[in-house]
Amino acid sequence: MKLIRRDADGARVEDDGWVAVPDEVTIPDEGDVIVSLDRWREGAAALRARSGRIGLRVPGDLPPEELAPQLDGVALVAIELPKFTDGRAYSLARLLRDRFGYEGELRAIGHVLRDQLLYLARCGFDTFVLAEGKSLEDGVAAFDDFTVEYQPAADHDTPIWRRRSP
Amino acid sequence: MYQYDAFDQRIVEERAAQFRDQVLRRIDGRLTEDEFKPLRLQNGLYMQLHAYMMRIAVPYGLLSSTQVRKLAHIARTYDKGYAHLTTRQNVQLNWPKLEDVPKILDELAEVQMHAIQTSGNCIRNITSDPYAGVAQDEIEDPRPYCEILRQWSTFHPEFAFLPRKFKFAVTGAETDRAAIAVHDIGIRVVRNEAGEVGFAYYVGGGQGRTPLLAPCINPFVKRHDLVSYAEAVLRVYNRLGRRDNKFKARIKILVKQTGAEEFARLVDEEHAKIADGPLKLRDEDIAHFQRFFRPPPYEVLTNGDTTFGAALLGKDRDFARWVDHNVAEHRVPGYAIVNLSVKCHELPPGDITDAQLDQVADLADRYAFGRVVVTHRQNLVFPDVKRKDLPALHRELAALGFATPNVGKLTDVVCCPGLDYCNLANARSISVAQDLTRRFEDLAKVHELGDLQLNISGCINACGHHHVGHIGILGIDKGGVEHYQLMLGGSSGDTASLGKVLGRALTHDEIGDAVEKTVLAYLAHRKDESESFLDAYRRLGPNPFKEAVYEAHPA
Amino acid sequence: MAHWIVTANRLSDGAVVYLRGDRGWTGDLQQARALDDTQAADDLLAWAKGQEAVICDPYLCEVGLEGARLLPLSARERIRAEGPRPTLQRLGYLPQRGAEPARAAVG
Repeated sequence: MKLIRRDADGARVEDDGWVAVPDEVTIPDEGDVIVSLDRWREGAAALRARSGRIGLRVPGDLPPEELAPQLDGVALVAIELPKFTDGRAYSLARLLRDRFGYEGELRAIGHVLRDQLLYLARCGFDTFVLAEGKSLEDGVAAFDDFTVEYQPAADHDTPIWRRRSP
Repeated sequence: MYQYDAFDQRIVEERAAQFRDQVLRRIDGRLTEDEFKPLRLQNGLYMQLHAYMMRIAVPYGLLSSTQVRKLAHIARTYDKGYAHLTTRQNVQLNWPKLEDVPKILDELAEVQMHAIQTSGNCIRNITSDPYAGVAQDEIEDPRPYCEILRQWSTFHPEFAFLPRKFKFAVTGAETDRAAIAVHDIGIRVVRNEAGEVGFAYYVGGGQGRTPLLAPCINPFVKRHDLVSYAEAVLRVYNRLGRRDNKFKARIKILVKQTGAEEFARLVDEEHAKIADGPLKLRDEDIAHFQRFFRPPPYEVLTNGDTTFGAALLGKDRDFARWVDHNVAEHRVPGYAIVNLSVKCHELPPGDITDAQLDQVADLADRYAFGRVVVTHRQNLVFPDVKRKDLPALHRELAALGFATPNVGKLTDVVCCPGLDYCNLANARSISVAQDLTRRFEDLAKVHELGDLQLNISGCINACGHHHVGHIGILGIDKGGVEHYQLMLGGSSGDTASLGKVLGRALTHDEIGDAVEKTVLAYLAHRKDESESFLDAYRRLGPNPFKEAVYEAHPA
Repeated sequence: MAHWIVTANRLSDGAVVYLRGDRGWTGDLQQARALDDTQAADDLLAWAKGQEAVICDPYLCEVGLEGARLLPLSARERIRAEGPRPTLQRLGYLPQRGAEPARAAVG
């Protein structure tokens, strides 16, 4: 599967190195896997013992306080947007970065459309799995929509008035 | 007023380009209507009954004459030659074509304007007191704070998809002319005992289906916490606001259900964690914005510096009445605040033609330092006019038709577009406004009634602010037939109150008579001329009015 | 017996349009295809929902029938069919909704 990654070097299409494992399916012994939060809570020790990294799949409306204590050893958090108009995922991402110091990969999955990508990135997301049928090239172009922002977010600390004030 | 720098300019130009691309993708099918809808809404583009409607942002209602001329040009070129002033100090076009909207945005960007976030579930226009900067009772000019909040909220990535729309109002005067009690966040600039400036934060007010007055959740937010506190409120709302039911999704519902005290605690908890972060304002930051709102080059005058005195006021009754009703006191001696009554029978309330806009721009340049403000009553204000220019300005305004001495009176009707234009409406509002304006053509009658604010909304969304009208009219649908609820006793000022429905719903044919009877009842029962309609209603209660309106046809 | 038509707003300018029998869109209510069969009406609506390149938000609207004349049954539909009175007054005419057949028929 392909997704979009955006970092200091810009945005690009990439192959996904992770395997999303549904709850009913056995977790492979090796490789980077994304599992549900419940599964992680039930068997963190065993999962940590594996070779291969652990990613968590969480719903966008998950209270951040529930997630924060679970992040030790987690290399990726995939936040699912049920509908692109549900803005809770943005606060969740922001708090993971700013408040809980999460430094792993943050991935947006679910109903992810091109026109939200820049907002998602500013809230701390690194990778983006677009909704079905949506063009990845269009998505990459989205990150060029704006070259300047007014307010601080997860990406930087400088409100625009401080950039321009002496 | 605020002047864009290279960053601001780039942002509006990039936004126009982004929307141009979104329109293309809608037209070629890469975006479905469902996907396009929130995007066009965030650029203020609604689909209405007969056409698109585009809402252009006018931050805290303030316009330069250059911007007014551009609006005239846009109305002429891309619309049917008129624009509409709204109750949130914005300007609307009723007939733009989809493919023209990117061009309109480009033209707006040329004069530092845009349509960003004037719709959608995001932070909307920051509104304020139309007398901001010049009111006699001003504590501190709220406009720099409005501008700071505007910039903080524009394209805020975390709050682009709130449970519902979010409206701020900020007042800096002792008298609230910004209706802070009925906004999602209402901010009052205050001074504490030490004389320090801070902000009283009122959160959870609103009109619509569940009208509520905002409780004060923090009586003194420190000056440098203006933005971080707002961010804390928004984050709590974004996380906890209801998303299951569109009609229960505003912050007012969250505050009511949580309780103001607990809500305040949640905000404080969040705020404590971010107060010392990058949103903390420094003195230099505030000073930077205040520089844009420095007073214009006032001449040194006194209030006695007029070319008119008692003699002219005695001779020219029209002028005298106009000064009485449409001219307000100014902070600076020798100056005055002039209200333009944009209402007239021929046009729906709030509508203004391209020719009128051009003339307003011209008058603003000659009399008012090139500044105009859109008011919540769908009128305009020239904030800075020399008193000695008042007679000449009055003559010119009269020629324009904007000198009717009825500001704040019954025929200064506040009225949404209603079922004639709006997709959301249940009933026509404009025809009711026009009927009542005709019935009360006689200025003597209007003045006899004194301050009397009539607000008409075509539906429960309350764009006409009917909940805070002294007389409020709400259009409802009864089996496909237009009906109206008549409510009395609302007020948006310092003693804010929500109007109460008087009795059974009335038909389109009945509502005009009902208002006349209401008004006659007031005249019959008021203590004396000095008791306003609102005071009389509050003293008497609804019964005398109910009897007058419904006696022949009791509910 | 109830009769139904399909109506929508034109994508290009938001104008009120009605679906004709030949599956073209018109601004004239009288040219709309009225169906008394709810299944046929639903099918037509389903087809209309696929016409996003031309129109937005199609829906079924009940109409009255007086001889051959279609009648709007609510204030809202009457105003959609006739246009907004304040603008008509100002411009001094009733817009000929059928007068742009070329554009409406392009569909």
